[in-house]
Amino acid sequence: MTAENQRWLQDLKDGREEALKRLFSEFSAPLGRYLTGMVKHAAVAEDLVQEALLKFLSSLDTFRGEASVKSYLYRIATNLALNHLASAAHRRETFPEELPEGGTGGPSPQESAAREETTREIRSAVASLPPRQRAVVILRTWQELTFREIAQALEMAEGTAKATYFYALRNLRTSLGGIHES
Amino acid sequence: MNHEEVLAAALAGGPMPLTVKEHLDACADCRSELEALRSLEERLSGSAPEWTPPAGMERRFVETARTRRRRPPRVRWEAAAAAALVLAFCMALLALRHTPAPAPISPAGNHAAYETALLYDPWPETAGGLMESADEMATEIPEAPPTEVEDYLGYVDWGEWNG
Repeated sequence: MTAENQRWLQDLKDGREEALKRLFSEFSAPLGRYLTGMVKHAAVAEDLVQEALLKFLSSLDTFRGEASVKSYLYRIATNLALNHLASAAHRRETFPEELPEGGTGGPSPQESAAREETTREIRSAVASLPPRQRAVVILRTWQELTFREIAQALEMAEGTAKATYFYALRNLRTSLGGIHES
Repeated sequence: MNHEEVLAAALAGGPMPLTVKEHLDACADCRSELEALRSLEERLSGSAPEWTPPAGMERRFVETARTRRRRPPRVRWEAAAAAALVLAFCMALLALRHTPAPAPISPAGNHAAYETALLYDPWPETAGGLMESADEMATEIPEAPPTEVEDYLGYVDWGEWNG
């Protein structure tokens, strides 16, 4: 860990406003995207983002920097998401598919409509993966984490993360029926 | 290496091990599947949902974080409360153990009062009332045998028995 990062962590422990703002601006959006993909509900994701950041702050005394701050935050977020999914399943809740739309481009309306339809299908397929596979796929393709970071975040061996990713992609390919193999 | 291991290694990125390369060169099925999975990866990357923090979320986060930092951790309160309860319980026990028995107990032997005193002090050095009462009871027991028995024995003719 760099000296600059150590200073930042100390400032976070001291509750300095600038340090807290940096934590929020650096990690809230990536965590929000990840959690939206995991729990399929933007409002729930918002609550979980805040909870993840606060949990990170409360665990700073025990954080020894073995994993990066990013991996550690994703680990906290993953646990929150899995707990939420388990309790939602327990309550038999069903969430509406309300994933926010992706980036805006400049294609024609027809192309946009086709792309949106494809995107919707892919997200739906991702959402139907088992939670661990879903987490690995999202962390790899949407969040662009390395397999090492994914392994740290999900507390699994790096080889397991790679194998999980392969099986998740294979499942997605099956559920999408090969229509996206252009 | 089997097909799955080759594909997992090939998708992992980074320099491809020689064994993986050799397998892919020799296996058309794996090459075909790898190509399809890489295409899917690209499409997945472009399908990430947008998420930006709502207005005011940063302010709420900073305020909550600073409030929580100022507040003593809840676990310390719980530990302090538990310790206070244990201390209060111990003090109550000690007070109960060393409270003197109610006195005086009447010489007539108030047993109800004595039982109450025993609750406070099971070994009643101070329960003088009972001792006095027991002495009184002892003096009431006649020391000599009943005269009727002595009179009766006096009429026995021992000679008949020895006869």
